[in-house]
Amino acid sequence: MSLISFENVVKDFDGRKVLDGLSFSVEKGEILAIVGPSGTGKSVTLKHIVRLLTPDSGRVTVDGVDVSECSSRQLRAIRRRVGYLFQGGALLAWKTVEENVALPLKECDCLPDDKIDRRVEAALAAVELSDAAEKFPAEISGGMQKRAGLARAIVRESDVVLYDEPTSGLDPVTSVTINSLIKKLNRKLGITSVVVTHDLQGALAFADRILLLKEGKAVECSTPAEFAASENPAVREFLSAMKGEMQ
Amino acid sequence: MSFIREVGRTTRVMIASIFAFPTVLRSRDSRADFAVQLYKTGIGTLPVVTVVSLFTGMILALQVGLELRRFNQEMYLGAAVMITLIREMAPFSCGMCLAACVGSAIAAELGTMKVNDEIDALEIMSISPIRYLAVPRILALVVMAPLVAFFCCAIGTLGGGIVGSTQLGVNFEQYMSSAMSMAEPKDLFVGLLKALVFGLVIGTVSVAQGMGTSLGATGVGRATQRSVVVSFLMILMLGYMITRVFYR
Repeated sequence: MSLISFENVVKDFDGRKVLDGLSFSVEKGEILAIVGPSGTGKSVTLKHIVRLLTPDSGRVTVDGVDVSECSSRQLRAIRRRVGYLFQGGALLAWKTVEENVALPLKECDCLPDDKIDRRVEAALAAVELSDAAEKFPAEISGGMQKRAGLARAIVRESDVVLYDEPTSGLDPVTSVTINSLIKKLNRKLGITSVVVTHDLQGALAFADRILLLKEGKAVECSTPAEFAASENPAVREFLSAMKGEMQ
Repeated sequence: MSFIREVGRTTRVMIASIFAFPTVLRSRDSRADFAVQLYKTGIGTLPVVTVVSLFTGMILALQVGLELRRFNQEMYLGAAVMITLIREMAPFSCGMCLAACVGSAIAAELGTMKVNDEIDALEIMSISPIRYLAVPRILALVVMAPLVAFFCCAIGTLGGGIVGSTQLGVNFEQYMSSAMSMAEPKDLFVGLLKALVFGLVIGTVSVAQGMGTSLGATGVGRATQRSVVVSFLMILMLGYMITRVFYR
């Protein structure tokens, strides 16, 4: 059974169908990159997995549990397993990096202070941010904010991490660092990852499979090698558009 | 339709927050945040509140005093100023100051958090934004509003006394004794009750507007503006209703 599955999901915003019968699945331990032009529903897809949005029709399941129909207790259990990295990091401005990372442990898991400290240290070390632990979000760069957000996403030892544009607005060097971090966390901790990205080069390098969305539908889902060689006109069009953008 | 939706959302925030009030003392973080909010609401607004209430009392004393002088009744100036302040003007000006200074800041802060995905991030971590963000802010307003209103009343009365003694020839001691003799415990109770209700309404409206923000920076501006306008209107309407209930 797949860990995450979308079955014919439809989502409409003010008469505009953003997801139009979307179906795909994510296997345990894999990295799935979701790519596609802007406005095709990539971030909307991600938000359905943790019920920040609910589908108008269709089903989204995590480990067999229907996310939109489940009880609040089941939803808490699902969210407990899922870390989410937002585009801007979504760190609380009045807390230091360390306090931001410790937040879910303090507020939800009610762990003793020494255990929280150990877990926070380990999460910050995993994203190579130990030096910035006592800084406030406004005092660190965009890339560091994303890494801090990632530390917060993995500090509860989540087995799934959802990444929403982890490299957007970052320079190429920092983008490579973040991409290799995604891969490292997946290989080292066995974290299942769903990555929404515009960075096709990065996706080809770190993903196990790439899903191309077009007009709210999945038009291709294949390994990076198959994706690059695909004869699907939508893939060819997307690849040539990306190539043009890079040139 | 959207008006009904807004009322529904605000009511939901109010009910959920009231039920979650006891949780503010549960964790160290919540207690610390509550203390910060108490400071911002109480001490942070004192300069504005002092100026507003001082001049409210002075204007009131001047207008009422000039009329009383026509009938040689200046000795009742203190009573007139005190009763007007304690029943109406103190909670009213306190409400206006809190809506403008604190409510708008809450709506802007939570609105910015909403558009930056910080509120969604809390939800995903299973941290209730109502418990973590709304309760400390609303409860601080509920606790501090009556105290600020009482302070408004004291400063306003003092301002009235200054005008009475310097411009209307009313002895300050006579003014104060007239003020203290006419005010009843019921007036104080109603004034403080009004302030408490205003605090709850300002907090709830501001939190609901902030958390309901969409459309980026424009949305934050709109939420801030709406929180102030809706709070002002609610203060006026509820002020009348409470007066109607207690003074028939």
